Amino acid sequence: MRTKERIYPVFRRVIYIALFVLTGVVQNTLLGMRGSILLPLIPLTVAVCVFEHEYAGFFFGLLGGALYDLASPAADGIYAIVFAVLGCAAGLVMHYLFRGTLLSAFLLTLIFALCTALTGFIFMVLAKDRSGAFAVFRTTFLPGAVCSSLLLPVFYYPIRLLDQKLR
Amino acid sequence: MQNYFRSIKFKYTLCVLAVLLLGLFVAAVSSGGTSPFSSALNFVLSPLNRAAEHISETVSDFRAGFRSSSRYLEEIESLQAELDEYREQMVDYEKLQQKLASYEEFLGVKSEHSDFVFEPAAVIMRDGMDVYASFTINKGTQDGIDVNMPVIYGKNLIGVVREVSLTSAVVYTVFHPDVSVSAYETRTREDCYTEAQNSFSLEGTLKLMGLARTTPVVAGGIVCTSGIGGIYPRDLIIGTVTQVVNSESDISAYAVIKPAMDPRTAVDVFVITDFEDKAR
Repeated sequence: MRTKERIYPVFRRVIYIALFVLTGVVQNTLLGMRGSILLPLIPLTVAVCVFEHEYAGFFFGLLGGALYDLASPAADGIYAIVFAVLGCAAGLVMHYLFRGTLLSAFLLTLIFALCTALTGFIFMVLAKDRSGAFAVFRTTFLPGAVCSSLLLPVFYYPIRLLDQKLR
Repeated sequence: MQNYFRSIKFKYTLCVLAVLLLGLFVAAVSSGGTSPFSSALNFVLSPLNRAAEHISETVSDFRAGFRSSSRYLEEIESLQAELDEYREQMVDYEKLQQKLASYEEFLGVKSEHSDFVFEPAAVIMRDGMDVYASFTINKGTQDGIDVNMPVIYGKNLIGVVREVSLTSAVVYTVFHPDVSVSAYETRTREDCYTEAQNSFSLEGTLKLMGLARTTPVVAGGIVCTSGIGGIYPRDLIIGTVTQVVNSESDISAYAVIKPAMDPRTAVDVFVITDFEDKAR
């Protein structure tokens, strides 16, 4: 029993890391190469933070952001910082304020995605050229954030199951 | 929640955040434009990215093959095995043909510009949210790639290397506002330069600035690099003029040009690592 308590959290987090790497590769290559605006790393990060809470959430956010940074031409490392802070904040909110339901997780994902989109917009577009910047936000970043949030159930239910089985 | 902010865990979190911010600062001031953390992660994950790229190609091949086999199946079911074999050969043939077309264009450039030194590269990553279509290639400093090296497909200029790590490099395309290329129109020999703006980049076009209001440049004209500045060699094709517009703010005019090769579809590219008039 004690061995299970010690091994299960480690095993669970190793699975999460593998899931992050796999999702990062899919986002940067399979989706990115086809011009898809979906960012599955966002719902994955929130889904993990919902169950892992603030401290682990910070580090999983850091990993998710770093993976996104690999393909992003925005300031190097900016998404790692944003994802880490937002992951920690999501973990804190789910730990102390909200119950870990799909609806509350979805709201957090939407806020997380909008913050990420806004960061990308500021560093990639607004910092370079202001003319027509709003059109870029409206046609690329906003739909990307909303569509990415809709992917939450794909990650939420498997992670909840994993959390229940391996806690 | 207050307990968390007083805990040692929160202090650790702040320390990591401080290190990250330091990394961001290092990336901003370093010539390569990448933080040590990103470079290390990039190095570790590069085999995985290449594997994903291979899987992506395989999936595309499978889809292409599946369509043709289903068509043949309706006609002659008994020849299924044979058709499968032909189908695989066709996919290989088409891939080879694409590769050959790329190398034929490359050969044309090479024969015209014997001073060019090339490094072939494959596009391995893109950010789907990036409206400027920047991409990451699978070559880095270990292959002799450096910042400000032009990236081409055939005779067409695609962009320029802006960030480089050991095993990969980030290429900014001609759609990026940071990329401005000195150019000339081939028929009139009028000197000008390209400028990317958000509204144009969204439509896959860019502006050709520096034209006089009485410019003889007309739609259909071909715009090439002029070589001024020493970053881009002379005579690489940037695109074709689609329209000439008089500026509303001053007495100049600008042309809208459509790149000959859409950087969004680039898969195999060449980096020009050296040429005769390169700025040292």
